[in-house]
Amino acid sequence: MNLLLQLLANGLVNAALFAMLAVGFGLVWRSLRVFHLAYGGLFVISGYTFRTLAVRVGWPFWASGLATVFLAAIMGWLIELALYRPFYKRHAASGTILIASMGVLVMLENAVAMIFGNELQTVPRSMASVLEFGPVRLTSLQLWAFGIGVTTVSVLWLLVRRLRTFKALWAMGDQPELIPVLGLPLYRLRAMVLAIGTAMAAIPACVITLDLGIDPFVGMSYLLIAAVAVLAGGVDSYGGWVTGAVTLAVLQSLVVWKFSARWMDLVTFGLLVAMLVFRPSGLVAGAKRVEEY
Amino acid sequence: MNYILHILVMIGIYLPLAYSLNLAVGFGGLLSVAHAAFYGIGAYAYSLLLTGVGMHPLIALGAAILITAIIALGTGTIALRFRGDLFLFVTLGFQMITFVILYNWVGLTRGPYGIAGIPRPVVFGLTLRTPLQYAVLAAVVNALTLPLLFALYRSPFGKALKALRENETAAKALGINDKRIFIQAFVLAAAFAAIPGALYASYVTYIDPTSFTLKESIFIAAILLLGGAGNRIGPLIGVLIMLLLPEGLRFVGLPDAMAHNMREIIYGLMLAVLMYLRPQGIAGEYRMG
Repeated sequence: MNLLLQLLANGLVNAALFAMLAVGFGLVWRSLRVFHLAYGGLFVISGYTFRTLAVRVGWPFWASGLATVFLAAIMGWLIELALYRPFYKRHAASGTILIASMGVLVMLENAVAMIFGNELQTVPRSMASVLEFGPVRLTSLQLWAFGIGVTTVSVLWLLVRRLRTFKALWAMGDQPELIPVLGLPLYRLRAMVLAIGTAMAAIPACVITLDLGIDPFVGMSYLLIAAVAVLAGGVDSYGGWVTGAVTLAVLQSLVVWKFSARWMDLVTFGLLVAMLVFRPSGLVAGAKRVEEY
Repeated sequence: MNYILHILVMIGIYLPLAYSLNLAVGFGGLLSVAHAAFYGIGAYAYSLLLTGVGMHPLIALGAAILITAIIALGTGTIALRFRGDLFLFVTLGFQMITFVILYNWVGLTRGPYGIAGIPRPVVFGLTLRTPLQYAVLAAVVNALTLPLLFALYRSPFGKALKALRENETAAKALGINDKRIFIQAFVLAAAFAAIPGALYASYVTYIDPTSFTLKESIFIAAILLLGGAGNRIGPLIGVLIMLLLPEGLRFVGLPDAMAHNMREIIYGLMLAVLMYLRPQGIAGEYRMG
């Protein structure tokens, strides 16, 4: 029982990290209608940026983290300029953009591997202090991760709900040609989405690099977590992405409890397939048919 | 010399892989990233039937093809409820699940330890050992499978598949049974992938799950996307580029570890640029939709 509680607590911490990843990914998908595979590469680059700043340059962790998030936003903007905008201007089919994005993912991962080497790199740090809540023990790092995750996800949720700009993003996903008609800057909105999306990936990237270390090829697995969370939760709503991420993280913890960590991927992708088959619009969704995607 | 023969054998393994996937991707317009899973299932079924049951290699090959086809039938039934991106995700999910099972079902597949000591094929009393003999075997396998695939490309079935790819509604209106044709294409593509799987297993005599990852699936799909899909020349060009490029880089004098990364960077860049300039690949006729 205590083990279950402990694993559920760990699951919730992961849920906060996954939620940030899912929100960044979902935002790009919903408003640009781009399956943003390069996201995984941006995650890896953010992790390495954080490590370089914290270890080589020697900045404190919080400063490195802030700088990484800022740099990540710029990288996201560059990706829009160099990759997605040219394709959009050509009215390229979504399949070609997906493949081009995959090409960029492969490029980014291998460029990082060439510069930093293929091995896992960690950030040397003092032992994180452990706090006990009854039977549950969490490190201070986990608490920070949870706090940051909940805060950013809720703040962004509020913005998405309240700000007209963000409401326009949903409209942009449906009919991008109508955005200029409304007097809104289409390209600036697209750039903003990618900047915010990449910044959202950079936060968990910093936390995970600090906690577990990073290697050049983890990008794909975190990308898949984000994609499964968004698909399982429901492509159309912010709440769905977060629900998907939490469900995924808690399910993974339950698998560790009941079976073993080795079967984690089976549950992740089993969930993906099961959701697509039985509830293709996601856990949280209005009435919509598959053909509309 | 052995080095060149090894490359020839690898080309001989990837050609049927690319040409079989071409049936689904190029003719059916179904971009699947589960081909390495079927390739792996074929390799595993063949190896286990040889080492565990002690079957004759040809019967084992036939059984491996059958097993792969049955699994593909199940997967295809689920995956083909979707088109486009969602189809891709279901195949992606299937690819990942297959890998987890191969890796963790230690009782059946020996998991990460892999299967060692896969017997070499015996042809007319001669045990194939040298790279030259394998190159000949690969050539024979290609000479037997590729014409079959080409015949499928040309057949009414291939034409119906193309019609569905171009306009599913219109093709259905012409009386083409979309569900049956698509599932046939998916199952045939998978069944053909079992053949290079068995060839690979008997060539390296040791297989483990890391040869059949999502990365491998993407690599096979990238062969088609780069070379071009939907005809007979595209996959050949794709295979030659993707397999000869890293060897070329080795001669330029890059160290081995760097050459691997460099190859991946070049192929990533080629994918991105090609999708912009020429979405149908170098010599293909089908543009990814």
